[in-house]
Amino acid sequence: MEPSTRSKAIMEFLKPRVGARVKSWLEICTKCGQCADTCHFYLAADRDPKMIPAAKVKYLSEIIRRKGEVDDEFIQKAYDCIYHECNMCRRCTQFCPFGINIADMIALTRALLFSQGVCPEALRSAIKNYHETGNQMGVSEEDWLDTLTWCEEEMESEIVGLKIPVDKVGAEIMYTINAREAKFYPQDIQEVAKIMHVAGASWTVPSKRGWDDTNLSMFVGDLKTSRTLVENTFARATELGAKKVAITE
Amino acid sequence: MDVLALAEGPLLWISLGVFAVGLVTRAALFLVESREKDKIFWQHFKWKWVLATMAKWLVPANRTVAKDPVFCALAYAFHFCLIVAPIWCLPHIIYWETSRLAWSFTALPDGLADWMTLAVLAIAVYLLIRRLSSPDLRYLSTASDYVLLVITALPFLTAYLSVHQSLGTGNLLGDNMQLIHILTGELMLVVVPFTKLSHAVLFFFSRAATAVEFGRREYSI
Amino acid sequence: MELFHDYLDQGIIKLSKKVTEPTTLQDPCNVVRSGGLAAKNRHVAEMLSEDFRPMDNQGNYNYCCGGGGGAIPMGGEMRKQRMKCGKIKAEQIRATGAKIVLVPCHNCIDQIRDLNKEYDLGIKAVHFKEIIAHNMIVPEHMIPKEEDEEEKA
Ligand code: SF4
Ligand code: SF4
Repeated sequence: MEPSTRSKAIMEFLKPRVGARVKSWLEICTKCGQCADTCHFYLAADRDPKMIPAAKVKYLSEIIRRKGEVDDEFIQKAYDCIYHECNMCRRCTQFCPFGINIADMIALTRALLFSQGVCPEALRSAIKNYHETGNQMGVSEEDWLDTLTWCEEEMESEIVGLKIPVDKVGAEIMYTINAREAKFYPQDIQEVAKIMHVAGASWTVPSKRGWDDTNLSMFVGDLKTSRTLVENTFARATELGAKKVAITE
Repeated sequence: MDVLALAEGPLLWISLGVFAVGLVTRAALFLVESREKDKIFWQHFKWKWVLATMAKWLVPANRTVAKDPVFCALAYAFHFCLIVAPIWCLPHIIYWETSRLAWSFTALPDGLADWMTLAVLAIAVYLLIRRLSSPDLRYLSTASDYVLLVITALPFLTAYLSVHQSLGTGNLLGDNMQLIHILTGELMLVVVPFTKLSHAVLFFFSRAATAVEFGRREYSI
Repeated sequence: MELFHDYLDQGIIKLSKKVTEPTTLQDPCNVVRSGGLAAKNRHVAEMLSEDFRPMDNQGNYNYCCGGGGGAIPMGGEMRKQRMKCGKIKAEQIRATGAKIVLVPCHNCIDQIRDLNKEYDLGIKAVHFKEIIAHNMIVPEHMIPKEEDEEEKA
């Protein structure tokens, strides 16, 4: 892509998103350094100044200052920083005298890069899976139901009358999981089933899109996918008339 | 009109005007722009979180104080003196009394105002040394961070020198210290709305915004 | 998590025994900083354990495990940095002397298990539900013939 087209796209993307907060944050940070030792990246890197939270938003302010006129090398550097040097945990924000939300600005930078087609491969494929199957691991509906069935069968030998109610209309709690459980840790589903059963809970698990409660698209700032996922889950809850949605843990 | 009259008259009014209008505008712009672009802030707005965060941060009652008590104590003292001394020092009040406004209010005792001025200067020196000696802060700092620190400290330095005539008379600097004081003070007032010093008002908005953001998650910062 | 808290708190689920080994607790950011459940999180941990040892900064001000913000699902490209920045969490865990780390988050648990290997912590990271499912009292009528199934824990 031509740099000038890119810079235009970048600025168009940023314009509605850089609001009063981000602007003030970039401006009023007094570089007091109080956020430095609140970040585990900084501490674990032997207090490398590059890891100071306040230093990590320099890419965003550079992009704005240069009006989006940045080259691939710059984007790569920004990428390394915002993906590899911040967990967006917001601990630093709790200590900043101004409550500057570094994680928010990292998220914005990630979203910006995503809009330019740059994001981690693994997350890209998870997003593809979300689109195709509604869950991050790409588990099909049949496989999902299969998993639930054998989880139930196996547990029945342990607890009498244990059921994993699928799509039960009118259940009080709709339980959703992390799709990794379906693939790697099915015993997690069994444990919950056991607890729910003993507690005598009125619960159910949805069979259709929405049973995966993870939202990895959020991490790259893909808000469209992100929203669809949340809507999926709530659509299921409404269909089933569930009062509460419980997410794994 | 000589330079002193100019500095005491029109320049002062202009710089006070820029300062006040500038800060009010910053605040207004923040509100307008956030209404448009930070809807989430307004959807979840609750006074409870905003007041709680102000209570913790306007006085030193937060976790950062526990983490770095020395810096925080000095930073709070710096801001306190910086605001109180110029408003309630006798020479400034005399100025208001003799001005068209004829305002009058009780002044700080001279000695106290002096000490506060010295405190601002001492802490400014500390902040400068801190900025220069820490690899972290050197890495973060840009030229403006140093310049603004100097701009903030100068009116206090010149105030002290002018009141005490420390540089004596008969030399260029000593004779014009009051003028220099007024000009540096005006310079500081003018730069506030346009630099990071705008945190004078944006502090409240930024903290409020983040407090609401965290408050939405049910706890106060 | 909140559900488990209420079940345990209201006695809907009763435990036959608590974890005897020393435990500590991770505060996952989605549960605690973003979920506002710091107190309940801790309360569950205390209800489950005999010897609960809070970490430094337990609660809202806890450090991130290092697996947040997409770091775990990013996979290989992030692994090195993930292990490095997790050092802080590893040290926190070591300092408590706990043998069991309760981790109510899938993301954190993968990270903490990796940290355990990387930094030789000699701990076990477990979910709440694992412990609850193992240690809870299952009513008579629900227990099939081989009664001691549950006791394995
Ligand atoms: S604590 Fe806040 S103001 Fe200070 S350097 Fe960090 S982000 Fe900037
Ligand atoms: S949000 Fe990012 S920069 Fe801030 S403490 Fe967490 S990992 Fe560090």
